Amino acid sequence: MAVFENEDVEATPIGEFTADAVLRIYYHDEKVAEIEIPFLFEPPKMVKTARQKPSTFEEPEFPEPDDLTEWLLRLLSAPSIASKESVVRTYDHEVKGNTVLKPLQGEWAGPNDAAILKPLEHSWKGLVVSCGMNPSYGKIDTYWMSASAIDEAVRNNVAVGGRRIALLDNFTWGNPEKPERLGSLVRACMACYDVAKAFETPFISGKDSLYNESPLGPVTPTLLITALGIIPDIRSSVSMDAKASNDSVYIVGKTFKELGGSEYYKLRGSLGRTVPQVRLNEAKKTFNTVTEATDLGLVAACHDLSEGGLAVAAAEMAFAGGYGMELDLRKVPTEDLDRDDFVLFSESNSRFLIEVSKKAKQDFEKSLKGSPCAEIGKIVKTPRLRISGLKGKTIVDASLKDLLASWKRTLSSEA
Amino acid sequence: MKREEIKVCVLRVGGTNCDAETRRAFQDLGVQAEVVHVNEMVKRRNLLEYQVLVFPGGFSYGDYVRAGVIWAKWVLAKLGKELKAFVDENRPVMGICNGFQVLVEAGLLPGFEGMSTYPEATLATNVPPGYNCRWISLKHENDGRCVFTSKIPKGKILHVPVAHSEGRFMFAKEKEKQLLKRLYEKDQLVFRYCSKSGEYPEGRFPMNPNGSFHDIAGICNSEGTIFGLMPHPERAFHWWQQSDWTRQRKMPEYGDGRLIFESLLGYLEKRN
Repeated sequence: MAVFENEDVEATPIGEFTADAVLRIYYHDEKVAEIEIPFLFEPPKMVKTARQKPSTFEEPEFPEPDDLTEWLLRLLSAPSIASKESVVRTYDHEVKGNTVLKPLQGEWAGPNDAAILKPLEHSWKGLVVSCGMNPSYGKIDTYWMSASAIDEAVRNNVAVGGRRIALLDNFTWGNPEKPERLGSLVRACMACYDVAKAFETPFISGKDSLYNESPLGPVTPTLLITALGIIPDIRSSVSMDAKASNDSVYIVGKTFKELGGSEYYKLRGSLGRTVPQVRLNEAKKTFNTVTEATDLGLVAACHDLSEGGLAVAAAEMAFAGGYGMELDLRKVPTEDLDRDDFVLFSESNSRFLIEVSKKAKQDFEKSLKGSPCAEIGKIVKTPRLRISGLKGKTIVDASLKDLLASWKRTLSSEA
Repeated sequence: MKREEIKVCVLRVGGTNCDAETRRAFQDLGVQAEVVHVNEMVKRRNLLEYQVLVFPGGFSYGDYVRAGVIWAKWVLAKLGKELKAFVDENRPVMGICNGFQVLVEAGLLPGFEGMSTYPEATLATNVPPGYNCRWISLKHENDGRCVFTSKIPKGKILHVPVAHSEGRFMFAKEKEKQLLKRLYEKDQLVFRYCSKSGEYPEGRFPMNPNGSFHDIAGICNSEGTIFGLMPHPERAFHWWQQSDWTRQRKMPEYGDGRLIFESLLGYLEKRN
């Protein structure tokens, strides 16, 4: 009690532990509750019905646009992609003076994939915190939404140098008494089980919020995954901003025709059907090789590919570092893709953009051998993002200034 | 005085949250530093055991009424005599962020002529309004009066973070010109917000993160021994705390905030 008093915290004893495993509550000497403790741990089991409704959405059809610059600028302004600076800055992300990698990177406040903290005074070990979430995918299939959220949280963690990852889940769902809601919840949980086992990333905690319904219907089923990883030495942390001109840009991971639930389809007014999947074995292998390359000090910058796909990731990397970038889509490892817009904006999981210096190129290629990985361009001094398409034509050509302005505009509190 | 004999008290109360890193900064420089809860100080300890007193950052008493005001009045009521003796002996007092708000509310700053019975300035809500956590640039303006910046050349630009929602330094409107003149005359102006290359933003966000008058970020009293600033030097002490270290080819050895702690200790070492 002295401790509470010293801290100005009001504390009053209100009971004592007894040996008989019974909880008794009194109000003014009158017993108002008596319950056997074991009952609380072995409640009666409920049986509920879950129904799974396969998605009926169709893949949209529209002609491929000639100029994709405009679409990239529009994507950067989409609320899910646009800078969250106006929110992030209202939280004290420097308190305790242990923040090694900030949520916003450098002068242009680029979106780092994860934050790194250095909690121990006499150790270089760091704690890596990252997230993954995409409710749009859940409208098509909650299994792949959950799998994608885990993949995103893990790859964000891996991108900055994290490993030995543990997960937390935050479910926000409708009323699970209704068979279809429960069905989608069951599918989400199945994905959590499958992916966590395959990635060897245990769930260590979480939180759920169910019964979120109004007469207008349920909330969109949403799973937020938070990943906690460890970086053995914070001095090898990798930020997402482009570092130097003439460095090479590699893409790691394969791009599929997976635009269902994508931001690009959303701009086109459709949801689509081809939700991104997670290829567990390949994904795990990709994560491991990226970690190896990071540990060898071969990675100058690394950024994960998520909402908006390759084009958005490249734009963010470029304007966060103040360097231009030149990319060639013909070199991107793909499957079943013959359209520039799909290669640019597909949201396939388990992919990274990695900047490698000239000096490190050979070793990097060696360490990535056997993984789907290709050099697709380079960092340049000219402050423009230029991308040539599958037919060799320039399909994106935008100044960093315009890219950054589009990205900052939507949720900005600054004029 | 020998460095290892210097004792620093980092005072704490409910809501303080920057005590540990502030202590760490001092300890890293080889002085004795401890975090003491104000209740402990009142009951069992004496301020005069220490050579330096620090009010660290946080949100004491939940920032209710105005940031820092409750803690300031509390300290004056319970520790007023000791604090006065401490200040009268010119022992250094530093207030960082919430601590700066406390020093202003307690009448210790600007302290044109010793301790004032009412606040002579205020740290008002930010313009634009709201909490803001970001790295900013500061220009050192002091000619040598302030003991906390004695090792920093005038005009040097420092990079440190701010994180607050009430940091807009103001005087009463009708007196602001006259009081600013006094700050200059007595060499009490210590830091002003500036651009990376050193231009004054004249209140413009985000270089001036709170709309503070004359871009003021930190001031000292007329003796130079009481110093308050909104930015957090303890968060810019190590190289790995800096916002852009992953871009540097060669890692800097320390952050700019360290200069403030170094200056203070240099002053104390010279003092008997």
